Amino acid sequence: MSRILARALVLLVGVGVIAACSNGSNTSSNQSFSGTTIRVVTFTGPQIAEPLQRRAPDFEKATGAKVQIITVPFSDLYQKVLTDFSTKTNSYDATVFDPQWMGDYVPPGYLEDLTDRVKNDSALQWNDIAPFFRDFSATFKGKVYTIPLDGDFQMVYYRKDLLQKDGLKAPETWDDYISIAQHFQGKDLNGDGKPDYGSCLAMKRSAQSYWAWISIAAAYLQSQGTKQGAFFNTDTMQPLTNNPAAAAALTVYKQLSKIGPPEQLNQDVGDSRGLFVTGRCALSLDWGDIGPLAVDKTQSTVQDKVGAVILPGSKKVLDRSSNQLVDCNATLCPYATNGVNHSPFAAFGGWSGAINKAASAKVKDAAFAFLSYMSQPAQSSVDVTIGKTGFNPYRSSHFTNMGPWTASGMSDQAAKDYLGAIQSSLQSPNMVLDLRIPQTAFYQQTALDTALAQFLAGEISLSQTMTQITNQWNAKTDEIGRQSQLDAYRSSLSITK
Amino acid sequence: MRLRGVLVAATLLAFLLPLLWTALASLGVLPDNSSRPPSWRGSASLDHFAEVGIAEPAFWNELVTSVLTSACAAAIAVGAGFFAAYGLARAPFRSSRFVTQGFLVLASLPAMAYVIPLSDLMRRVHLLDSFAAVVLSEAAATAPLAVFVLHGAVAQLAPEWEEAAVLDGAGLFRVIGRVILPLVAPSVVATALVLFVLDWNMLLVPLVLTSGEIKTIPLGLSDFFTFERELDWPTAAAALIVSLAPVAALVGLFHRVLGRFSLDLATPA
Amino acid sequence: MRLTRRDRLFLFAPLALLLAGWLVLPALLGLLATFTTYSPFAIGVHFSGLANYAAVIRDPLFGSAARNVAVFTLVAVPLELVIGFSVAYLLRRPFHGRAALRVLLLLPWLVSPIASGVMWHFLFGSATGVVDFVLGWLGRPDLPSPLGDPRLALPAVIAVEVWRVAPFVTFLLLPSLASIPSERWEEATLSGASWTGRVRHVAIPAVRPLLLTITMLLTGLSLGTFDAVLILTGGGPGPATVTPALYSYNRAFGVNDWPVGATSGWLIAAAVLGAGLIYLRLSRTRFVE
Repeated sequence: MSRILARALVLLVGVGVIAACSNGSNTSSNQSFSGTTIRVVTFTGPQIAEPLQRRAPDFEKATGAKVQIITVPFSDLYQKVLTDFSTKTNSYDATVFDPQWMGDYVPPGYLEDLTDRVKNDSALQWNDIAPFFRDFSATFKGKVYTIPLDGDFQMVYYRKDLLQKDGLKAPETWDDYISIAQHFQGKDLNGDGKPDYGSCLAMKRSAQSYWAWISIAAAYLQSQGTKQGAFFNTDTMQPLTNNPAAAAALTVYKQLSKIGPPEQLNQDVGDSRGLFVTGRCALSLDWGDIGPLAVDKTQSTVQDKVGAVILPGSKKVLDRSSNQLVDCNATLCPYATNGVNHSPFAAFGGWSGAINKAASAKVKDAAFAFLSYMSQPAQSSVDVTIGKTGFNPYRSSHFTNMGPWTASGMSDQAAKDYLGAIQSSLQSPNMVLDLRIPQTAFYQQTALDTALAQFLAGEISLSQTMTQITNQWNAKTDEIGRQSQLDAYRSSLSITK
Repeated sequence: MRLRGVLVAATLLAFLLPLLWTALASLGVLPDNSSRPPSWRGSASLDHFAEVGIAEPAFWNELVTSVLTSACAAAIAVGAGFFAAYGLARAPFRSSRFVTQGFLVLASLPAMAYVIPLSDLMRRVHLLDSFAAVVLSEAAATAPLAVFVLHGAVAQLAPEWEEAAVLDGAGLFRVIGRVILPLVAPSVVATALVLFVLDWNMLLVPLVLTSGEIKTIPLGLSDFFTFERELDWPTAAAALIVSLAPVAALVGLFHRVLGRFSLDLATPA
Repeated sequence: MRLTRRDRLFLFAPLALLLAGWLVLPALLGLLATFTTYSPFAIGVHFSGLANYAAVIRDPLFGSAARNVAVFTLVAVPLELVIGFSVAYLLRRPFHGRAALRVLLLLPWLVSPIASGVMWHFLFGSATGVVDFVLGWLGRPDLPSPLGDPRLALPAVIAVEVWRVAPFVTFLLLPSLASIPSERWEEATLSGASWTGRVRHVAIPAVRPLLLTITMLLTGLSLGTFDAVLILTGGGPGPATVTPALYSYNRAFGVNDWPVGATSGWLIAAAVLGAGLIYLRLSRTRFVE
């Protein structure tokens, strides 16, 4: 219970602080939406649905609208929303969903264009949202379709205390990551007399495995900014999955499968997080969630011992003209630091709110007001500090306003470390946008995930893995239509001729 | 005799140790496998049961939904199954036993074989995400088993039982209500209980037929393990114990009558 | 009593309606759809012959799934029968506390497959698991979870399912074994039969038709294995524990490949109906005897 009490306290303090600072500039209390019901669908779980449910009553009080949060299992959300919209059942007015699915939802016209609304809503403070989330994540073909509620990208977490003691620096490249992992693998890290692990990753099939692999591959694949794309050639729609860069990433991934817990192939993020915050791993790769979890006194034994850095990079990247891995130089890697190309991967893309175009005008207004309310700094800067919300920072003010962070129990130093890693990822012009084309689920969850699982299990060789992914992706692309898939891919990257 | 005692104890241990582990975890008592020999840490508390409602706010609603859907589905399946079983047992055609066995094959058919089109059909008749769709689909999935079991129970009854009533001028429903049902009531109750357990634990049918409105316990449990999972084994264990408790209590209360659930083919009297 | 036409209509109509609307009709519509490109999202639907079947059969992942489920069925069903029978045999004679024991022994079957998946994930794990706890007491080193090992994952999944289902077999067999008249046992003992002889000549003949029926049910259950692996392994590592049902579900609901999902669902149905024919055949020959 103490954990809940602590959270409630954090919340109260945070809300108080912010309410005092923002002197009620946001929602006007004119009951403008009385009688309007908004049905918002998202997935079940303490995350995402929790903040929506928690904040809905305040919004209802201020506006008179009624907010109904509907939850479905995560694995069914995509299909259920798509079925609802495409069959014109329209039982959902808005959804807080994975913006990756925009590729399936936007082209058929299921989602409301929010471009003008975000411009005209001063309380939303659109320009406070980090550029990557504004210009890429929320945008499709130059138009805004979603309001970001969560900043999702992967980072590397390391045990500051252990690395310091052994005179090691945080990993800059994947080679560093492997050598640090090897250094700690099999050593007793938490003092229980039993060997612990160098690195803990989620490698379970049908879980989060493929995102981890893309996080590694991105460093070798994309070096010239978000618009370059990391999945397909933006002229031919040829997959970038059969080349020396993909091979390098597969090799790293396979090595990491052996420098970790023996049951790593059946572990998802829940397991790897559990191991990391109980002090059993020196390194891990994850979304922002480990930061708040590591300071949670009820589960964590590594408070103030955790550092976070931007995803490791590579000194060699793919030269797309020669299809070879070559050393970074100023033209090839314009955004490199110390000759290392970093490509932070916005895996999944962060939960975002979107509105059903088929809803009535009044409901759309109310739904927009609710999503805006959730994203406004007054609300979101508290929500992103609570581990259980699953919301991670995505606004500039989330970094400058330290009050909620220290109120959540993070030490100043820990908050700075954690936010520093997020900020350096967020500000990177070389952020990798997750795949957003029709049938993304097939490309990633089916084709890529299966091939990776087979590769890790030793069932297929490295070259077979690359060929298999490439062939399946090409077959799917041709089945749907190469030109239309290419258009969608370019739209998602906001490439305009 | 002593050997049997040892064997029984060993069996009990093998089957129940995992559940004991789960029960302890739900109380916050976890083993510490890192010490030698392994020890225990954590002191018993009911906090994790309270956390179930926080991790899955709808959990207690789901419990109610599960009770209602399973009870209705079992009642419908047993009702429809009982009438048909009686009809088959008293049918004049000789292959009624063969038909009954056909029902067993149908009872063995996994739901996956047909739920994909079923979900589409339910959507088209606007029953998706409705109580009715879940109840009727679960009833249809389990009714064949009810027919098979109840046919066995009814076929064992000598027809003389009914003949006296018929001579007194009783119609079909009077015969069933006054004569047959009292005689086979234990089998009917036992069948209803087993079907209730099957419905209670059914995942696939509610999974594909609902989109958020109707949620049963297995759906809730699967949520404890999907996507953005944090590290809550004790909470999941508590949810598991809560979900097991109602059916365990039912089985404990009615264990005598449950012995009447028999898959034996009746030898016609 | 002699049933009139009207009586029979009353008796069969509810079941017929229920099964037709919520099982048979969807199944047949689904069968029809497997020969077309139908999907709820498709604009135009056209006949595609056996293309869907070819796509499923040619998919190596379905091949792995079929292989896994074959192994699963051939190993799990006999194990469930043997263990279930042995426990029932052990409990066949009344003793003090047997009723309570029967209820306790049924508990694993009351755990839903999905919950048993959640549970065993942790019980196999090394931090909080039961396996390593016991090994620790015996002074042995930890074993990594078999679920993370491509060779051990399927056996582990089978073991979990046997743990859950064998108690149900015991529950089904016990009344019949307990009701064998005691003279039969005594006769067998007097004629010098060992315990194997008693099992073979007294116990098994008494429950043979029942065993056949249970085998049919368990076979269907195994061929449709879905929730038992959904959370426990998600089908991994590699394709080590993918089943046809998991494959169908992922295709139809995960990636919207409706025709392929529905087609592989029908292949499961075909396998179960095939097993059903054997069952009907076997039980028929018995009657002719």
